[in-house]
Amino acid sequence: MSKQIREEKETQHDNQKDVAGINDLPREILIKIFSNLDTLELVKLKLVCKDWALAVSDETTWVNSFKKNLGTGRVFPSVSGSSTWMVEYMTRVKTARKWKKAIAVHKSFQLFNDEYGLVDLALVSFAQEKLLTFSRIHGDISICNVLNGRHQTFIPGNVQFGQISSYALNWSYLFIGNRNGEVFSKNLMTSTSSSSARTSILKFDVEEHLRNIEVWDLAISPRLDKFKQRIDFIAAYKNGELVCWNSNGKRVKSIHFDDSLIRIKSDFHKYIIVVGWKKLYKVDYATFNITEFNHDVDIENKERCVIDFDYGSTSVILSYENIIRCFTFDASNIERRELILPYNVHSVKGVVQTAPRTRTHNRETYLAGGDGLLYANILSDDSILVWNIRDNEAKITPQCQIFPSFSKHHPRIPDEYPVITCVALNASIVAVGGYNGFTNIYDAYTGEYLREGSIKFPKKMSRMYEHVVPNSKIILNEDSLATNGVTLCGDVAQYFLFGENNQESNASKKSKLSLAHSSSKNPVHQSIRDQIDDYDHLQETENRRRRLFEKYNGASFDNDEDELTTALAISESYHQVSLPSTQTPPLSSNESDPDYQLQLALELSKSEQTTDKDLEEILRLSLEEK
Amino acid sequence: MPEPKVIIISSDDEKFPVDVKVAEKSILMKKMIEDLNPDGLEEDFEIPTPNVRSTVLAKVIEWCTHHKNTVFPDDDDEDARKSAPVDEWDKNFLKVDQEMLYEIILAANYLNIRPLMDSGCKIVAEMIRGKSPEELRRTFNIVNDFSPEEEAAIRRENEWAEDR
Repeated sequence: MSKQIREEKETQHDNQKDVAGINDLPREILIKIFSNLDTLELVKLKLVCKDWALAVSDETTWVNSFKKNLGTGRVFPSVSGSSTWMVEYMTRVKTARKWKKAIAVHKSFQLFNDEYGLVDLALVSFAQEKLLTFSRIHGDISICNVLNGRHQTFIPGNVQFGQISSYALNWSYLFIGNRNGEVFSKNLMTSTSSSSARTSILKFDVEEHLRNIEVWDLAISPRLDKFKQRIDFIAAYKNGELVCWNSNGKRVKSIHFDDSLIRIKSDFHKYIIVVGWKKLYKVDYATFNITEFNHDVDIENKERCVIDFDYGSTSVILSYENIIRCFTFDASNIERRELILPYNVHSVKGVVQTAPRTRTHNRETYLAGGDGLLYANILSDDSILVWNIRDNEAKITPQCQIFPSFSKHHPRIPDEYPVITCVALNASIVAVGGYNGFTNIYDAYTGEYLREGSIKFPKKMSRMYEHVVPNSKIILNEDSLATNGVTLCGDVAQYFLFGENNQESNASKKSKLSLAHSSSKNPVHQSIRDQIDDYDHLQETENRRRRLFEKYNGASFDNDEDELTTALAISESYHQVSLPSTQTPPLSSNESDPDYQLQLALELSKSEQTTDKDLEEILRLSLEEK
Repeated sequence: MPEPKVIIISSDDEKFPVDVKVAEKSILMKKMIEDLNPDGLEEDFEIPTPNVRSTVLAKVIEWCTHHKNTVFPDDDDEDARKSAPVDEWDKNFLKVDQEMLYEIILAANYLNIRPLMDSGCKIVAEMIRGKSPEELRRTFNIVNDFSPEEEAAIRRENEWAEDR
């Protein structure tokens, strides 16, 4: 006892001496103090001393600071894909600023051949500027440029499809299952004209006993095996049969379950996830070993059951009526989390956050924010519930709940119509769709209203003014830094881009040039070089533009400017798919001569309606220099 | 019979008799009282705090007494706690020398008095905000223990963030 007292006395003495300065506080308290600071302040604290540098490097400091500044939780999806918190912060702030900026590009266009204005599935590649829409009624497909709706192609459905009961598609194949148990694939590459349509359809090898059994769900690999051996097509039948084919249409495997198969999902790499009335089945993609779990949801109406899958954390999200349940499994275990909504509220739709494939199919916990993935449920009380699939919490914890209200121009809708028609979200924002194209953008963490995401459609799209049309899809660019996307509504589409001048706009390019010029008068040489580079690029674009003018001469345009922008858009998209070496068409042998190029550039600049005098001057200077 | 008191004993053996309500501002003491007196306090109850000096303990008790009727936001609701500005009374109360401030924070940490801890941390954060590294070292009497090379390396690392 006496010894204890002595020890206590000693600690007490130590304590008194210890607490002389801030650095005698334990690190967790230092972290707590730092957590109150703005994220930007943290950077300079690193320079004070080693203790502070260590405290600043601690993840907790960042998690807290992010929470305070951005409203993120302990785990959140990465925008930058970086493990450095500061990089993530800067990227996040920059991206958020772009979303909020007043400057915006909107392009509305009509989807021809879409007489019913019904889109059941849509694929968008922002990199290749393509939009593909699928309508289940006849199995029709339309493809066009997503930025402006040009180059619309139409692939009609086929009577052979019968009564379509399920469908899936990727960029090269449409996969159809019908009520009679028949399964077809249609090659979209070879079926652009109606005459070749028949040959591009492949009827899959289906066993006799599945005849007249309805196909309930289909899955298609986003990237087909080029050797046509692996399983790329999977169908789930009402009677519990799971059938797998390769892209030759050859049956590779059939598995029978004593259950109806409501929904299937697969990453075509590790798992096939099957959801039945009572159970959840995990089928190994390679060995076909089956692990089953009770999902304990009494599904009565499969249409009201929303099922999604997070491949990165191997989680299944099942929403039905007022239950949202998330099953996360590893090799042998399954972990169950849930959220029970009030009894009179049910989940209407669910959607997984849009993210690059590397983020949705993998999880790298070392990334700043722990590489989370958001999920949004549209609820019947006209709200959206955002939560994180990967937040490691014991139960589903909402990040925010959004009750959207649209601008006063939004059409009046009958009370029984739901306010929210569709939703899309990425690592920064939630886009919420209403009717007639109306879209609002909200912060994904705080739920704060950021802006209106849509503008009015041109008057010529009369349907948008005469009827109430629900939005059918919002698709965001999967690149987390991008601030663009497309809203589909009836037979029209609207492309949007925020915080950036449209790359295709000629005017913006010019202003950029003059801006660059005015800001860097010194050193002159550097400036000249930059201008020349820019001008080379412009000239290159001009060449391509000219060539494409000829190519698309037949097309009718509203005015010259429209024509210009179209050609530029075309050339831009061309630019992205082709290799640099093939970009410049061999117009003349003089092409490679830099002096010739400069002269051409000079001429070009003269031919522009508003000639940039400074630029001309610089080009002349550089010519003389040479 | 007067109501039984909680007697808090400082490291230098000074005794502070307080009401239960005051002592219960400390989650640590609250738990202790509940665990050791399941039927409620029947007689005076001593709680030693072997690492808190009497001067500091007096301050902490002053705080607890002032806030004995204050309802603080839920512990789980971190957002509310974090974003709330420091209470005016707390601000004045914590106008003490740095050493005392740190000792109060430490005591609050040990005794688990989160609102006091939060206020203390926010006051220190306020002292940090907007100062250059050099000013910070002067304010907090910190010796720069980086070698010039190390410092240069961190500066380089920070550079890109500073322009924005």
